Amino acid sequence: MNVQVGLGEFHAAYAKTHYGLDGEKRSVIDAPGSESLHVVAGPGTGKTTALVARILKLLFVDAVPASGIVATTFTKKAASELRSRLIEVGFPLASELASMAGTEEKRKAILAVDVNQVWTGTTDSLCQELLTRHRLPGEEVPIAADEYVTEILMLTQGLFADGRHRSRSLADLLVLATGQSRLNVPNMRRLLSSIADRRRHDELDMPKYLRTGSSSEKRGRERLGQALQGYDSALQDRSLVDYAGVEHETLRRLQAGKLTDFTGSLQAVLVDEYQDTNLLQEDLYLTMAIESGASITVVGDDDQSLYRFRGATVELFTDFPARASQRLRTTPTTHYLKTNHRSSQEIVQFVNAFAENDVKYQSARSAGKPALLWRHGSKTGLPILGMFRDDVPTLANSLGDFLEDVFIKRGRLLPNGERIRKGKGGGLGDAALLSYSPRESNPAHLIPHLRNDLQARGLSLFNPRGYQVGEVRDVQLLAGLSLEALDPSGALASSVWQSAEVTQRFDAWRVASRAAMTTDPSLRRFVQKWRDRESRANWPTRTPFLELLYGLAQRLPGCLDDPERALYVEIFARQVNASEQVGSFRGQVLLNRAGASARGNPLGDGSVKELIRTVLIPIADNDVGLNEDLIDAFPAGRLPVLSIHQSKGLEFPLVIVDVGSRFRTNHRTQARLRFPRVGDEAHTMEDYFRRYSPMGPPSRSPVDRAFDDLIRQYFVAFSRARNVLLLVGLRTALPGGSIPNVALGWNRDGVDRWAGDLPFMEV
Amino acid sequence: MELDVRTAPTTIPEYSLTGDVLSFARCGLQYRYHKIGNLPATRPVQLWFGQFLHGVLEESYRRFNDTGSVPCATVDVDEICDLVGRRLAATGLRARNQQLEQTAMHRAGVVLKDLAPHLFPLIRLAEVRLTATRALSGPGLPEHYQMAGIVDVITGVELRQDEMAANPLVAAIQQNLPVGVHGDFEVIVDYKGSRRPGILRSATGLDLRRVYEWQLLTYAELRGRQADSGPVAAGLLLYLNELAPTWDDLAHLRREIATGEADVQPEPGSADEAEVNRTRGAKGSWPSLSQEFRLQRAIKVVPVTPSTMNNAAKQFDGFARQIEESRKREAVTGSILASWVNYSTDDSTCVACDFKGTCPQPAGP
Repeated sequence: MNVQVGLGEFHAAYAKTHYGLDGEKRSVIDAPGSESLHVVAGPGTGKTTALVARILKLLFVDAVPASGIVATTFTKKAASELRSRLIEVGFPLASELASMAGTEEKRKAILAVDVNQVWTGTTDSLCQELLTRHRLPGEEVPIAADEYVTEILMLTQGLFADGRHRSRSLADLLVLATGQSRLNVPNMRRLLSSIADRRRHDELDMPKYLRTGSSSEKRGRERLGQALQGYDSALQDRSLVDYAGVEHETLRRLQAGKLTDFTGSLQAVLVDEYQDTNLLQEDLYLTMAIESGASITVVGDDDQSLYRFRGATVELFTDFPARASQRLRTTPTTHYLKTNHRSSQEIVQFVNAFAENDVKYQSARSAGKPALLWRHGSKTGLPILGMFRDDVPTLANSLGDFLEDVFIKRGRLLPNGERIRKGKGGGLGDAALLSYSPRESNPAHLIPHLRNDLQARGLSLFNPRGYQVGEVRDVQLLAGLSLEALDPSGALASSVWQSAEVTQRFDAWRVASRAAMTTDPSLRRFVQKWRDRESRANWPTRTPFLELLYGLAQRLPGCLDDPERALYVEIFARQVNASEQVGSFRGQVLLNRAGASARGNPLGDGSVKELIRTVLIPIADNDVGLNEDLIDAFPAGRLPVLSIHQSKGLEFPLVIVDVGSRFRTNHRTQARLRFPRVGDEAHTMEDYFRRYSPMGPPSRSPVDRAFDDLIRQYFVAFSRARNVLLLVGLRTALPGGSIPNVALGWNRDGVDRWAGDLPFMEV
Repeated sequence: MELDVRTAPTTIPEYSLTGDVLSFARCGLQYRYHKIGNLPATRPVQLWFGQFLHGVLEESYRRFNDTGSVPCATVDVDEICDLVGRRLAATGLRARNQQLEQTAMHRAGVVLKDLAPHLFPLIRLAEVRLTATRALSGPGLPEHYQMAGIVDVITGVELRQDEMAANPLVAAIQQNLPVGVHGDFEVIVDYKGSRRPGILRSATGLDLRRVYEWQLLTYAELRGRQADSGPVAAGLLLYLNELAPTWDDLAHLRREIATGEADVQPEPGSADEAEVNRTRGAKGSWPSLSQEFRLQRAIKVVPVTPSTMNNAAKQFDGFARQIEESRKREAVTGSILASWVNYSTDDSTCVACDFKGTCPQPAGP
């Protein structure tokens, strides 16, 4: 049953159930359903609101069936928020529209619209769903492999196979293509994985790449081709594809007309966070629109593009109207959302000034992009604050004082006589510390100092990403005890190739584990049973390694009770899962009496070596991390610490941005964090590979792109703040000094624009 | 100035009827570790088995739909089993041993031979995704949650057509239709890769028969809201293991008959009764039971009425609420063990549990 309500009715009902939509949003929402749109939406301007209202307008005003709408975004979390908002806004709106309906037939038609049926998710999940749902009888559907599985396959089948990790020509090629010089095994694996993705994301002409190149490069390219071939075959043998492969395969099937069941009913495609898209995804979405005749709406903000290192190409967003018009029959119209509803006037002005500080950055932004406006009638807030001290301990102590004053005591009195205090019912979780990196490994850095300082005040940080997994006590014990149980003499581990760092870490883990066993007899007995497995008559021939892992975790007090500590057990379980998928022994510990390999090696030893190679070495190499999907909401009473990338999409009443706690001198090793002298890995790869992409080489130089990216990072960081923005660093980093720093007002021409006229009040 | 208080963006939780609600109903703590904590079971025998049989039926139906004939020749069955096994392996699920794999393949063959010819011609839709937003009441809980499920099969036939009377599925449905039902109706079918659960005699423990009925009735409720849905008259649970039971299954059935827990029993004095009472056949052999008795054990019809649907959906709302309450408790207390307290009272769940060493209340020996 089709439903159609008037635009006036729609807005009246929307205003009654929620609030009136402003003119900027209405231009997006009210555009005809068949029109394709390019929406440039600055931070805090309500792009999700506009996107959701646009979908609802398509449903109720344009009578597009819910099953004909697809809305995607960048992360699972963002997709879940989009879906939630759609439901929260959609159902009351439908009820209101139904109550306004003049006829029973119209009322029924409105209530029959099921918002649940709108497809929302990430691009990857959409592609996997399309491949699975629309497969033919007997067709083998590739399954998207998790990243940890593809990483192990790249390591074992791409890099280690045929001893490619020792190949000089491959190493030289990786140096040339990526600019990286530190080529240990984890790094080589990471670079190969990155190249494997890029060939898909940038739609590289790999046959051409592999058959060309200078004579000095040719051997390296051959080796690279073999590594990628080994990786691809390993995936194929297991009916797997990587995420880029899922998108590539979906595009192939769309182009071949094999997804007509899907395109036949598709009427509208909406894509959020389009500034971080890549060429493959652009191709995918435009092909969907072409095959179905659906309209396409892309929403994003070039100033917030942060994922170049994952293959994002911001120009695909800034140039979207021109690019899309070459393939669609019409040119998408551009709309700007410019009124910021999040931040105080001072913060909006500061963010605007920051974005305009560097003249050369302006040409990298969307053409004609207006400055952000603050919400009409928004209260005037406080000036931007700056806290700069002579050394890190003093800075941590001052920051601790500030936070204690604001959140525990009666507030902090500022030099201008204003006082900042927490809101009613608020807590330390209303603030956030954003840093280049949340790592706490170096005790001389700000975050560990602040952790100690807050602890002394009875306060705490929330920083689950603060340590590399190999440094965490539970991980050390679980890994060390596993080694002690499976390979007490260390003979098997030493026969598996590993770096010197891994050997050292294994030794340290064993020492910690032996100490733990001396104080805990039950742990010692459990490990001893595993050590004696070959001589125990009733020990099964095959035992899942998970059984050992869970047995150990249950014997470490609190390990399976504390939600944060349980996350570390999951890291092992994930690696075991990868081992099951890629290894010969499927994550099992065999007994030697189970037999021998064709070469005469005992299977039991082989199974242990495989677990060391696929589970324990990647953990020792810190090549694995916490599962971001399992990290829940921030606890209200603790100060969250986030990298700027992790803060994307979030907002906090008080945002503390570390703009210079590590900058004591103008040292070149830190230049990339504040004033790049050269492009980094992502820029080098773009220059090297895009010669083989339909996009062609980038128009801006690597160092210009490095500056652009750094400006975008701080633009994102500064625009997270609602009420108060506090910049922190060492006094040596202050404007007027000798350390160039984009975050503190320097432009790429070396002009220190804030010197003598600080745009913040020192506290 | 006073800072604002941070409000995290609200997200509506989504719970699937099988992956979340049924798992939680079995044991909250096990659900927390396996599903939320992403810690897989060391021996996911049942998970593999269930998914394997589902996969075989789905693939076979696609072929039936394409060619009009059920692919039950040995060569077809082997090929389909191989394909489905590879698909499952790609998702990390494998048969733990050869015996399990052989049992599954044998069952798949019997299901395709004895059940599929009756079922496939009735199918209107397969693998139907259902979602609905439902209210959740409770202090500090989200206002809504999304209930999601995938119905294996929706059949759509003129249920009282005489030419269908010979079909044992149609006959079973007709015998159990709610009073006053006539005309063209939909029947929701759910495959269970398990044996038929017995009648629960103890006061505690999870009554799987009831829970599976609620699941079907909830599917019926969700299906009834879809635009292309016809009226849903009944649900059909198909316990696939009953079509090819093992000797261990028969031993289980004997125990249930002895304790009065078996709701479908062989006729006294029949060959089926004699076979059920045989302790074990030759190695590698399968019990020889009549097709009629096996189908009787495999088929369970659940009549659908507005009040039973409503009641079932409310039962599931209750489980969803308990999950949310447990999540909230964990966030407040920081303790998993103190938060997921609907521990299993079922011995068989606890015996196979990987976390019984940490559980405050493990059931069974």
